[in-house]
Amino acid sequence: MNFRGLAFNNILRSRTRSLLTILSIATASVTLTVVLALDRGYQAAVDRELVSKSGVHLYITKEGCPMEAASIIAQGGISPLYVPASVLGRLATVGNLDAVLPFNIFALTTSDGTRTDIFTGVTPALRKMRPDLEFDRGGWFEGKDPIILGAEMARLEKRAVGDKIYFEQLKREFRVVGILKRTYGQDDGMFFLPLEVSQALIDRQGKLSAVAIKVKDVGKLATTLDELRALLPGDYYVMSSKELGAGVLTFFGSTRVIMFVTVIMTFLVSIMGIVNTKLMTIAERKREFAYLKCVGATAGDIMRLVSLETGLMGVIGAAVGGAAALVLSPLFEGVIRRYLVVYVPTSRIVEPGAAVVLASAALVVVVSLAASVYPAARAARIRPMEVLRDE
Amino acid sequence: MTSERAPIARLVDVVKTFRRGSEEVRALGGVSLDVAPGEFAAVVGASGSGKTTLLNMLGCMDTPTGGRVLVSGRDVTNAGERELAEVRKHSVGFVFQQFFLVPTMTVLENARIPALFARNPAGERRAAELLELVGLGRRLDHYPGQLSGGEMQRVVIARALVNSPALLLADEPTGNLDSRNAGGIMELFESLHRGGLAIVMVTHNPDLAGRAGRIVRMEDGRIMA
Ligand SMILES: Nc1ncnc2c1ncn2[C@@H]1O[C@H](COP(=O)(O)OP(=O)(O)OP(=O)(O)O)[C@@H](O)[C@H]1O
Ligand SMILES: [Mg+2]
Repeated sequence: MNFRGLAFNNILRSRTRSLLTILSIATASVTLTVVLALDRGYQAAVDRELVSKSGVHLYITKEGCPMEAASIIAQGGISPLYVPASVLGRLATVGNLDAVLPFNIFALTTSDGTRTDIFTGVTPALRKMRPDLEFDRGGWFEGKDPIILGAEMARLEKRAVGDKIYFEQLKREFRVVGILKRTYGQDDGMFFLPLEVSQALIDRQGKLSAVAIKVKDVGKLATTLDELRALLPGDYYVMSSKELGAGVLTFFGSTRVIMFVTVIMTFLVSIMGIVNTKLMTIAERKREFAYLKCVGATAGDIMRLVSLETGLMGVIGAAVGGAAALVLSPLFEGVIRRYLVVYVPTSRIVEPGAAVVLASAALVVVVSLAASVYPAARAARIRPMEVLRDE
Repeated sequence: MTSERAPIARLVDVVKTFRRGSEEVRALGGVSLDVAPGEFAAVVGASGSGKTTLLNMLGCMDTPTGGRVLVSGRDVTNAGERELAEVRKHSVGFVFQQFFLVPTMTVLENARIPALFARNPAGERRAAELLELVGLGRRLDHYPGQLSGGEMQRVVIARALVNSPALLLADEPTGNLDSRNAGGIMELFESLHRGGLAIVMVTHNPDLAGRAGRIVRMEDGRIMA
């Protein structure tokens, strides 16, 4: 038995109260861990999926702010904005273009609302733009009603090459001709159709969601961007994928603020809880602290004891919270995905790593200790004489 | 009363007043007392006569308003909180009417607590020895809730002695006990006294007081005999 043992014993003495305090600490810890993980995960996913791995350097869209464009391109839906296919002809004079991919993208939710499928209509330019996209099985569009499935979709739909796949939203059946290898990017969750088929499905013949461009020389990206902007009419918008990513993150900024405010609120509630229960406990144990002083405990000893009690609860709370965050992260992931507006990455976004878990645990313990300072000081001030005071 | 050895605690003209609102309460009105090593004294007197206050002065629980207090040859009259804690830790042991036992700790762990604050590594062994001495050698792993009142008070006495003080201060130690248990505690005190421990015990029980070597009678904050 040492100070820690004594502190631990004191925690056990009021089990319910300690349990509630630990739960409130754990809640703060879960919130912090999830928010930190989401914050990092989202930025990493946007960077990975929209900027570094998309293979696209530039997008041409029509009108609107970059955010609108971002939603159109990334999230799908059927946007009223479109780029006429005729724009492709204008690009002929521009140098430094390696691949030009006109595409069309839309998302359709099933009538029962349980799932949303993302369809993208592409041309063979996709293969030039994305040499990293490889077929796991099968190959490029051929024959009647062909469709290519992202790796995740093939897994979910349990389809192999040659199988039929029916979409209730489109009232159409397709034949799986190819299944892509997993890229851990947004491709995994997509259905690929020939551009014309896809345009016809939503009655958008000759209309594109956007044109994606891959340049030959990335060093001249800025020049190409200027050239395109000069070439195209004012109602066209040319944007680099970096700008797209940055735009998405700007939008995410407000979500971030809300998240961190939530964290601060949970911490405040938790701190008030700790201070309140600790003060209650100290009031109840006043004569006991006085007794400890009689047997030679100094003010410092008492401070140490009370801080240890709170610190131990902080450690337990942080551990429980960290473990809960790890276990529950897929659940949070699902909930958070539903409320992301601008861009929903395909890869995991709430995946607390060791750094995040440890950082939040450390912060939780420090905050618990800080919350114990005032109650500990109160306890330390109790005079030994109080031991004899009849209440 | 004379003693060839220096007293382990000495009060010289000690005055203690308390403020209660605008009113001033004089709990001790100039008290002088020497406690010799190995002495067994009983303090008696009516309620409010200043017995507990006297014990507080001896135990360095509080500083006097006037006069001087010496414990273990150290003048603690104007000592700071830290120095008083130091004296309490090593020179005196306390037994009160209330037990202040931690219900979730075993008898042995409870008895060890003062050693914890004194950073006394031999505390556990000493606590076990003392518990043996007070007749609880076979109850070390029991919890306070499993003990009778008299047994709990024995744990408290063992705990008070764990840092080997020369003086034991007891404020109505039998106040919560029936006469049989009270007698048992008194016998324990007598045997500790025979072992060389100085004891100052406040009691309302004239029979128990009569068994001490010396009776200090208090009245209105003064010692009468
Ligand atoms: N902390 C205090 N503040 C104010 N007055 C006090 C305080 N402690 C003691 N007194 C007063 O000093 C006087 C002596 O009190 P003390 O507790 O020493 O009496 P006592 O002899 O121990 O009485 P009892 O037999 O009831 O325990 C009483 O009038 C008491 O009200
Ligand atoms: Mg009293």
